[in-house]
Amino acid sequence: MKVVKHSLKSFFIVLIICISGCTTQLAPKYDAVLFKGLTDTNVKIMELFASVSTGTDVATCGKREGAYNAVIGSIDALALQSKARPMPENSITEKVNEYLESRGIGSMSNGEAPSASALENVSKQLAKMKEVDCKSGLKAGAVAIFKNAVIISMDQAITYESFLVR
Amino acid sequence: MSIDIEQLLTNMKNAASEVINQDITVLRGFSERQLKALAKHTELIAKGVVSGDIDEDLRDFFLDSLEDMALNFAKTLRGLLMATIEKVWNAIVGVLWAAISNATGIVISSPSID
Repeated sequence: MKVVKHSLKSFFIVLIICISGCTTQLAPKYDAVLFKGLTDTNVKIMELFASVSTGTDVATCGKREGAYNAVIGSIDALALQSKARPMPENSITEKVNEYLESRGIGSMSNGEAPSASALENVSKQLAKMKEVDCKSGLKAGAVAIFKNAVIISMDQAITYESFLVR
Repeated sequence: MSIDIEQLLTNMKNAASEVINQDITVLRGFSERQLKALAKHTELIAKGVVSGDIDEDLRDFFLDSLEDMALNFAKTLRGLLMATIEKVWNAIVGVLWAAISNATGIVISSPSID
């Protein structure tokens, strides 16, 4: 009887240790290189916006083409880097996704970090801005809208990535 | 040595509160910035249409983008919440782990999410 009690006690101690040891990961790992890339590219994008804030003349588009290509290339590379990072998969996220999908709501992660889709939107905005600039020139009002769209998406990407430090 | 359940509960609550209080500031700040920026975006598009600074093609592009940005705001917020839940979960597990170590006398290294 004493042996059974002792065994039960040991079993419960091991069980508690196993349960309490179940630390989990629900968000991807922090990537310091990606974060630095984001903040560096953000500066370059804002410099580009500062240079065209009053609008542009289509005749001078060639002078800005290099700057456009540089920032679009950087953002596309960062989006790829964010997408390539493995997303944690576990029973908790699966259960939450099942619940959301049963209520017609999209799944929690779609297998990629929200920063990736935010950066894709930044790339889309800059590509469209370059297209309009080189086709007909940009009016100041249009530049302001492009800039605000980029700020919104960069804020989403930077806030998310910095939040992953833990 | 037995486990003091009341103390354990207090420690778990404190561990969770510490994470939540820290993260809620970031979440609130992010949400306020995003909502203000999205409202400003709507206003800028309307002004651009009225002033003629944006044509029909650009207007449609900006309206589609506005929808994408609003959706991604929600997705980002959800991602931030998941990171907070993870931190709370692991903070509580850390407290439990320490309690078991103290009660059993077994030296157990702190759990890691890696």
